[in-house]
Amino acid sequence: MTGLASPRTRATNRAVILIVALLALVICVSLWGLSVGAVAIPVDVIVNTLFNLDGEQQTYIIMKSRLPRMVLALLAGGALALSGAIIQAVIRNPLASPNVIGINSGAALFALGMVLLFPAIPQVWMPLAACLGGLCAAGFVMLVAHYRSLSAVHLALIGVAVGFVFESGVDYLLITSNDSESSAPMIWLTGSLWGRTWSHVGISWIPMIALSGVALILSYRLDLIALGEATATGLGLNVPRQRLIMLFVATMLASVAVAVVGVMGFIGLMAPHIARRLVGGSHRLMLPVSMLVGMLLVVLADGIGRAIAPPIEISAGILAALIGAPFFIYIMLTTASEQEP
Amino acid sequence: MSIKSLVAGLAGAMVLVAMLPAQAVEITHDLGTTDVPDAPQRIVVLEYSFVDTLAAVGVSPVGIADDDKRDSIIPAYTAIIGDDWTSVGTRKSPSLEIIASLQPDLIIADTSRHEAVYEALSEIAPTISFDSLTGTYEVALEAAKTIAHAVGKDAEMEARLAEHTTKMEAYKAEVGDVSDWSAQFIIDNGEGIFLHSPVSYNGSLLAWFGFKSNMPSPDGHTYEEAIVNTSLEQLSEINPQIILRGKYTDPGLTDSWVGQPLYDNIEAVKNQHVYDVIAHEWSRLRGVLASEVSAANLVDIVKQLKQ
Repeated sequence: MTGLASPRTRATNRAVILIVALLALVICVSLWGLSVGAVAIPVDVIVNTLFNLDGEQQTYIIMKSRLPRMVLALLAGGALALSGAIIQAVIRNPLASPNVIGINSGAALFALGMVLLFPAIPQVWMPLAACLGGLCAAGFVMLVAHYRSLSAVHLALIGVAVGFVFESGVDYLLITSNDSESSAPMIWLTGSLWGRTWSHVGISWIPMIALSGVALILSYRLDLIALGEATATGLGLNVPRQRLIMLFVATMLASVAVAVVGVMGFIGLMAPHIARRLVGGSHRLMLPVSMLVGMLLVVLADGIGRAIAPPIEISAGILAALIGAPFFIYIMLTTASEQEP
Repeated sequence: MSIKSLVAGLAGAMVLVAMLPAQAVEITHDLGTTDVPDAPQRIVVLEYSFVDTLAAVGVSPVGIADDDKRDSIIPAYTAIIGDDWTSVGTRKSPSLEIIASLQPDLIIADTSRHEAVYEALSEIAPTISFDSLTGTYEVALEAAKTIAHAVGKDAEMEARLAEHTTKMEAYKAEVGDVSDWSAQFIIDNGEGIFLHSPVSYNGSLLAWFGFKSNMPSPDGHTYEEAIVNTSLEQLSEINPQIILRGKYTDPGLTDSWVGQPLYDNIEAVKNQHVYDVIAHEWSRLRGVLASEVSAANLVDIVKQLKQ
């Protein structure tokens, strides 16, 4: 120890190094993702295509297939992780995730319902239906929270109950419809980037980036809420109102993400925990790290899903859980003695 | 006008015609109207029934969504189209990258499966989409005509359909009068059974041969009405005299029902008129060639029946 650096700046320095390292990792994995898939493309052709240089190019596969998927994976991974981190802070429950306020099941019900009950509606509207479903479920939870100023635990329980109602709706639709051949909603329900194009990026990048910005700016309020309701109120924070604002931001983030990539339940739950283990609970650092972890997981999962058994593609939602869970457990085991959740 | 100028004008017109780009055919399909290049050469198909249509007019697709199982393209098809195609993955989520790498000039998609990625497919090549899952035998033949038109093989399809009619009428004559028999095609996937109703492809094929159906015939043509997921109770209620059974697992669910009075008392079971057919061929393949394969099966079954 030199005696100059205080423990606080050392922690910050460590976090900055970590963020830079994660960022580099995200970039590396994204580039790797561009190079893998059912069709092998040499690196020089990728570079030619990306920068429009002379020589062989693969315009469709790189520019219209892999690049929009990569961008969408980064956006959705970041948004889902951020949403999960906010919801865990607001509900003050480590098991919380966008799922807990019913977003996933609401989105799933509306998407399936649209395809199965109103087959005349073109499937391009499925993302919008999903977004509406997520907002509907979460909106109900928030409405209840608004009128009764409930405690965090009650909020979580109501969210779980609402989620179950929507989930039973999904089960009902799946069981009564025997349309096992028409599988578009099923692929979508496992969370997948298959067939995504620039038009999906086009409709989602503005809300995702704007909402992420708002969330990062308001992150200090999460630190106050994390102190506990009584303390936060004592410090002059209108806890119910702040909770509602933050929940609304988180709901919008998750709903937009679910609309374009489908249901990826794992990211919103695990990425914030991994981030907390890496940089601690201060949201100023923890939120950006969560986003980076979420991005990393989704981009990696999508790349592996394309590379593992072409021409078959494995949904990113399935692989994100498969890759993320062992890493998550490892982090929990190696850091368990240092910090409590 | 002098002869000289007439000849010059004619020659000029001929040069103009020769310089015109290949004519595009405008095809109206489930998801819109698409300009398909004249006589496309590199075709990718995303459902089995489109393989059937191409085989019927002697066109070999460059890519097939064959679920990565080359055996799923049966010998009746490979005898015509060869086995040079590239697998583009599953019918559910075919690999867009592989499709693009084949540089197709036409993609034939299935409406209910691929509607959500129609835009992405259209970026690769002109894409036409038809509903392969629902619809009767007659509807399947109509779709085959439209696809043949899209690939510039109208004459070939007309000739093949004439041959088809002759073959089918011969099979029908061999089968003879079956109007006293109620027949039911069922799929047994080990977990459930699915009855193909009179408005389904297989149901309508049986009706074409003159078999009765004890199933109510719905007016609409949705998938739910065509392929009905049902239970033993409902099957015993329908009580067909002949069951044509396609099993995806062995033993199937129906095998576990043997010994139960409800199953054993079904007319077809009681009189040992349950006939196994190849589930893949009957349930997944539809079209000109597929119906001939099924018809040949039926002739054999009726022979056993009449013994």
